[in-house]
Amino acid sequence: MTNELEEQVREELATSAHGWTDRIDHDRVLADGRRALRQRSLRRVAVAAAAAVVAGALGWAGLAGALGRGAMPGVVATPSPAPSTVAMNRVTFDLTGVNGADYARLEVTLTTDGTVWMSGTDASGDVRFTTSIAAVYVTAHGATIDVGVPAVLGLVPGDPRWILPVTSGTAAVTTDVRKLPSGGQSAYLATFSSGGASQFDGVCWPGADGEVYQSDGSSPAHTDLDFDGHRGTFFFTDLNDRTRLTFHADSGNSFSFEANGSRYRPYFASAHDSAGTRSMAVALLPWNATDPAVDLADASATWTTLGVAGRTVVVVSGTSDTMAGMVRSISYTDEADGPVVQRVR
Amino acid sequence: MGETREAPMFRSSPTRDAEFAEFMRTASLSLGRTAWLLTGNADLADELVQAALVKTYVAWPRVRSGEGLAYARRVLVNLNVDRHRRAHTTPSDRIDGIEPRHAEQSVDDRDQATRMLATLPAQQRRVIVLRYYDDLSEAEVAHHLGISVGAVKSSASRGLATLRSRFARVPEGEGQ
Repeated sequence: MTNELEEQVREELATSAHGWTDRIDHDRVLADGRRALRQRSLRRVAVAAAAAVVAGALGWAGLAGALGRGAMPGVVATPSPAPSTVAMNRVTFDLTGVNGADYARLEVTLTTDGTVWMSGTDASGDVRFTTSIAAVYVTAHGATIDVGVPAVLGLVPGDPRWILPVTSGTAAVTTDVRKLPSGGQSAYLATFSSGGASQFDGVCWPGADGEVYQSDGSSPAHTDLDFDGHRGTFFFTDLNDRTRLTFHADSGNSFSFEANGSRYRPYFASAHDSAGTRSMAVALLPWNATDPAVDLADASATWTTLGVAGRTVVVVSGTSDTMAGMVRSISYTDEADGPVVQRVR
Repeated sequence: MGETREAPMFRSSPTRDAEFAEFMRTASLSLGRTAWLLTGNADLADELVQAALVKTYVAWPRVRSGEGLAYARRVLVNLNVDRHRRAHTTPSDRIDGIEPRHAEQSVDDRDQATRMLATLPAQQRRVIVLRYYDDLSEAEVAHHLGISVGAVKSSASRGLATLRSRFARVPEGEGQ
């Protein structure tokens, strides 16, 4: 059946493409190409540093998540009748550490009729509100809710050790994931500062099979890092049409920065090892870059490279909190541009 | 922080131009068809092919013999990804997993294939085109798009599932 469908798709695409005729002006391509070569040879190209410094403390630095572009139906916590169906799965999220939260705890119950009930309770355990949403909306992508602060509630398979919200804006303030008692699922809750949930793109989590998963169900290639006290996993998230190089440290810290298409995203994220004594800086090299080398500014620093989904990532470890404190420059050979030196200032 | 690119010196040469002209003669039709399927828009497709060929010309001495088409196609795909991201506008609604149409998906509606491709999220569309029109392997598609093979499989599977339902809904003869 799938093969038949594949053949049908091939035929449709071929038929559509067959009607296309070459309309490219080859002389214009050559003229534009010669002009590009002349311009490049006449001047050194100073490229503004697109320093993508991911927030310092690395708690949730640089990362957060987003619900399909603000997509799923938002749920405002308002009083409503309590659930009458039999509770199959219930977990409780502690909100006492969440600034601005209206409740001390949020109880989440998945019932047999495919409904997710949410109850906010105060410190004494009294229920202050109850509301519900069809479970179909509470997928791995999550649903926006309001607990006094914006939040995203979602369900992911299995019992992941961590959950990582990915956002194109402000990172999540808190994230928690708890296994439901039955059903092989876990619920996660990410809270945000005002407006933050609207830039939530999705979440990532580790599967029991050792793979990393993202909320569209796909499993991005990942590479583990064990270097100079830094341990964790690199992978590219691809959510909401945004590709990011992401690092999740075993210590729970994480960062990410956008790595669109062929564009080189030069700098850098910083992190600390679990002992808090060594910092880490990361540079993502362009496609097909070869011969990477690092000119270290910090005599105690050290560096390595690793491949992540076909891209080369340079990892520098040292004592400085900044890339400039550790590195003078990174050089490599670019497939298109030849030798390139990225100076760090 | 800043960066300075130390650009090497290049000169165009009659040899380069002749080689590249021959390459264009054989490659630009294929690139144009891929661009058409990726965008569903003839003008955009022309712009993408033109830009991809110019970039390939600049890199030509480093493009391995026999790999010009693969190189240019990779450039084209990446340019399209970048273009899509620049043009992307945040949709306001998404209901029950149905993706809204993207700016990229305002197509010419020339035929059934591009209409159906326009219903797919951008990554699924790229994967479907590269996998089933350009006939690339899953690993090659992953390399072109900078995603994992697993993501390629997942996108292809979901894209095919969507197309299956679309095929089922399109009556005979529609979409010409």
